[in-house]
Amino acid sequence: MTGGAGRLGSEVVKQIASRGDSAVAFDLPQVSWEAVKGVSGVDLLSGDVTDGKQVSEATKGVDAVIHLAALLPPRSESNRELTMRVNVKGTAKIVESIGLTGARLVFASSVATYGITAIEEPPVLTSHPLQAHDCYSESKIKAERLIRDSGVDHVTLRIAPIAVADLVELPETIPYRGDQRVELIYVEDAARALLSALYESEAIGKTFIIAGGPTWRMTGAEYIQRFYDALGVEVEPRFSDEYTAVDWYDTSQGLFLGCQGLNFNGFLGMLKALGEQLGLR
Amino acid sequence: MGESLETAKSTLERVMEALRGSSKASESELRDLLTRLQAARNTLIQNERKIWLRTKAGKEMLSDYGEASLKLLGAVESGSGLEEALTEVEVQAKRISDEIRKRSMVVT
Repeated sequence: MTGGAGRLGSEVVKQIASRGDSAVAFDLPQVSWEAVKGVSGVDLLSGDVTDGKQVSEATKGVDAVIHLAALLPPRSESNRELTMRVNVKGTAKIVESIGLTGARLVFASSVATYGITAIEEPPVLTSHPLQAHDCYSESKIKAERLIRDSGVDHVTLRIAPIAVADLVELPETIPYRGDQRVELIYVEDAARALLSALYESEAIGKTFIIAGGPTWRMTGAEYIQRFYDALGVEVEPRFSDEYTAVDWYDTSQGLFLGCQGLNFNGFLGMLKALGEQLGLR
Repeated sequence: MGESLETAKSTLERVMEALRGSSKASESELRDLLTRLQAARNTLIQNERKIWLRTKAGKEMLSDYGEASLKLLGAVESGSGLEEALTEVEVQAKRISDEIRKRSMVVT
């Protein structure tokens, strides 16, 4: 599990452990490992996906790799060379190691690969052409291509932005327009989809969109309003002036991966409980 | 929350004034102390609108920060335990910034 200490990665690792399987969480030494420390059946290994030796060490003897490690926006946009090195060359190192072991690769790609689709008719289909519009989407498209061309057993998931039932600070600028269509996915559901992709033989060689489903489809302003209302916080969000790469998606092909366990009202219920616990409501 | 935040900020302001008026530190020591203090104060200024500081736990952190600032003021005025008191303010500032940094939006 690369990126195994992160918010999504740690969730996947915990789900693997809860099945009684063992996992190696691989991540940079300087990140916080708090979320995966002490999880039974999980070995922690610090390293860098751009280092071939460390990747070989991490993948030694594994049956499969879930590859999440990547440089994400906004950091990905400030240094193109670094983004390509981590997101594309890092993926190449994983593929090289997998090629030698015969393990399966589950690749966490992104709906950002579809580019800006806001002026098109929704929903975005899996077969929609890929359009790089920034360093991040370019890197994910290139990584997808090199995995496909490598011939390794793989599953590609294009994942929507992740929603966590936690206190999330309002960024200076919300990364989408207020009137833009958005569809997020609950973090545990995204983790479940990654895990199912690992175990379902039907998924091999295919690409799926992973997003929350009909109850999660709304505008950006509506999402932000409902999120912070549920927490019990008044906010004054500033939305992006430009459309960004998030939309409503056709997720029908990936439903068997179990990615739509929590509907949006259930998510709001969790936020309300959290708001009370934190003394915000 | 607003009140304790303003109190902590103004306490640090008083600490700075007291330090500037102190004849005990050399010029370079004074510059170093003021830089560290300013950094700790900036943590509050940069995060004063954050939601975390409106939570119960956030308010407690703010209160700990305020307490550490008062101790620092006492240390500056008495001329003893300055380093220890300043380090404690820095620790409290770091607790706040670390907690808030963890709470950024997730993208994929």
